[in-house]
Amino acid sequence: MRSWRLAYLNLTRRKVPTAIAFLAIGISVGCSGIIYRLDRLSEERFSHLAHGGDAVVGAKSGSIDILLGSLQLEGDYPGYLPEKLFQSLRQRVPVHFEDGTETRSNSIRSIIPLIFFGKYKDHRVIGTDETFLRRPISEDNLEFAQGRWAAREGEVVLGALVSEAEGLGIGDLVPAQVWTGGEPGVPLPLHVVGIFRPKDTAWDRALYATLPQAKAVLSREMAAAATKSPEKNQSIWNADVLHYFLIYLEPGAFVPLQSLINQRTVGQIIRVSDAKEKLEELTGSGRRLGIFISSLILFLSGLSVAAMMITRFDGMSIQLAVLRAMGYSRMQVASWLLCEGLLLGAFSCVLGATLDALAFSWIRELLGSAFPDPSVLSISIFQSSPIWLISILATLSTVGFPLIRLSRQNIHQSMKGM
Amino acid sequence: MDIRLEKIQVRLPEAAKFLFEIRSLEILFGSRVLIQGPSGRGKTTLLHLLAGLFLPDSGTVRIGEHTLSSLSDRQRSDLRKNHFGIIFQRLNLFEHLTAHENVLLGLHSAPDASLKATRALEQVGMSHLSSQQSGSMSLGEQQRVAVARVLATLPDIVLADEPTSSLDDANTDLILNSLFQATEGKTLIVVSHDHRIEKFFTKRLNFDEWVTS
Repeated sequence: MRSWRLAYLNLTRRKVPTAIAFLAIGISVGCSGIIYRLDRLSEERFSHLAHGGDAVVGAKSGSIDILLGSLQLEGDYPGYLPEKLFQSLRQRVPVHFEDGTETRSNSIRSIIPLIFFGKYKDHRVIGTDETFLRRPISEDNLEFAQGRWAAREGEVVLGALVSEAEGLGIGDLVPAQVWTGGEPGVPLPLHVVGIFRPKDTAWDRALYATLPQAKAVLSREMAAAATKSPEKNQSIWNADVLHYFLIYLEPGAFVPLQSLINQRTVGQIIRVSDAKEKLEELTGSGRRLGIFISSLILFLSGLSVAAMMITRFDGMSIQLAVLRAMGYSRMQVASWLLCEGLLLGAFSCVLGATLDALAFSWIRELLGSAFPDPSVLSISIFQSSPIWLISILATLSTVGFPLIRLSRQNIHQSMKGM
Repeated sequence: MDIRLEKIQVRLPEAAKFLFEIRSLEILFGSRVLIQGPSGRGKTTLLHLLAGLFLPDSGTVRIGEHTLSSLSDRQRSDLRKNHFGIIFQRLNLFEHLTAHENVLLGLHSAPDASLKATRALEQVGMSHLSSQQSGSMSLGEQQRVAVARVLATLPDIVLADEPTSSLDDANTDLILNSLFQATEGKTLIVVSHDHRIEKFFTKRLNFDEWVTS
């Protein structure tokens, strides 16, 4: 009888102990897989954060919200900023405040406008201008893989991932929809005129059009909304608005600009490095705890399975001796034990992976904004594969104890129960 | 394949005294030997010694051309696999396996193993229970399966430890006839207290007569 067959029979005929071991390993693999994938998700969020200069200005909210909204393209539709403020900062003209004071900023190397005005599936359509392509730091620049920048209304440039995932090329029509918060609605057909090279950041999963195009869309949308519900004033600046300004600064320029914008405008400026650090601190302790718990679950389940397997194999010492007495070599008996461990480990992993696949989305939803939306960052079930490998190796290693016993076994004494 | 033992000394683990000593014993190939003697003197240990399940503290065990102490563990396993069939005192069937699977286990991966197992179960009158797990069988039925496990392999040397202890008279006759049939021209060594089987053996050895304790 072959080792696989004997291992299979030994597992399936001893239903209760096998089921307990199977469930114990399966559940621990499932739990560990979920925690591990959440950790990967959190890490991916950092690694895919787009490059957007030294500072970002957004409507007043939390610094992490501004960071994730602007450079990770996450979250709800953001609040508006007046375009006038953007123009003043860009042109370095004095900014006049309601209290009569005025100030000017000469310390801005580059300022890039961003406004969201449409969506194609889960990808956002961003209105910006050519400063988005010509940045003071060349590494941050997006380059064209094909085509050119959108020059007219109705034209769009695709991020690499949008082109790849949706199979779109130059000249194709993108059936996007207007998005000004809430569910996307009015059709917004756009022609592809360019495709960016991949940057492995959030910029890869967006579409880019001109500011006038964005302004025109917003204008129409606001007029339509005003007709439907005149009492609802969407923006005091009408369509002359933006969502974010990405700013490249001269050294030491952040603090004066912060005091200017945070104290005297509706905007809020964040230093990108500080906000990233804050986000990392916030999620990092959770991640470390997650990894610790994940390891602990695996370790504890490994211990309990090891105890179970050792008891199981201990009770099999006479069987091992009988096999040896019948002429089975140590290698053959060892291969039977290893097959049994491997079968148990592999089938438990299938159970664990199924639990992981079924429960992950639900748990991700429960954790809310602590993790990016699935539309922004998805994570494959196969990311849990290191956990599967570890658990199979751990299950196999529990066979080590009976293998050691086997190598020292005195067949005669075992059979006589000595 | 003759069996020769010379100047054998066997000690119980951690005991100062020898369990038994055998100056010389020769069992020629084709012999049918019944070993009798009081309990606790080492009859089962002697069978295990002959099968190479352990090595003596001193002395030589020769099975045909092979000296057991000069063989590796792997070679002793191969010797048992190719030449020995053992019926254990405690039966030692795998309780969760069926009668058929238990017999298959003894056949390793021999060609037509399934057919051989079926025939062996027929020989001991157990074919009707071939798909029943041995744990749910009576002691007598288990004993017959254990015998079938050996019969299926047609070994050169059969070592049987109390093979009829749990059988009634009819089944004792059936089992012994099957054993004699299967070992025609081969060596059969039986250890037993069962006086009913003495009549089947021409050569009987009283353990005390040639073994020193």
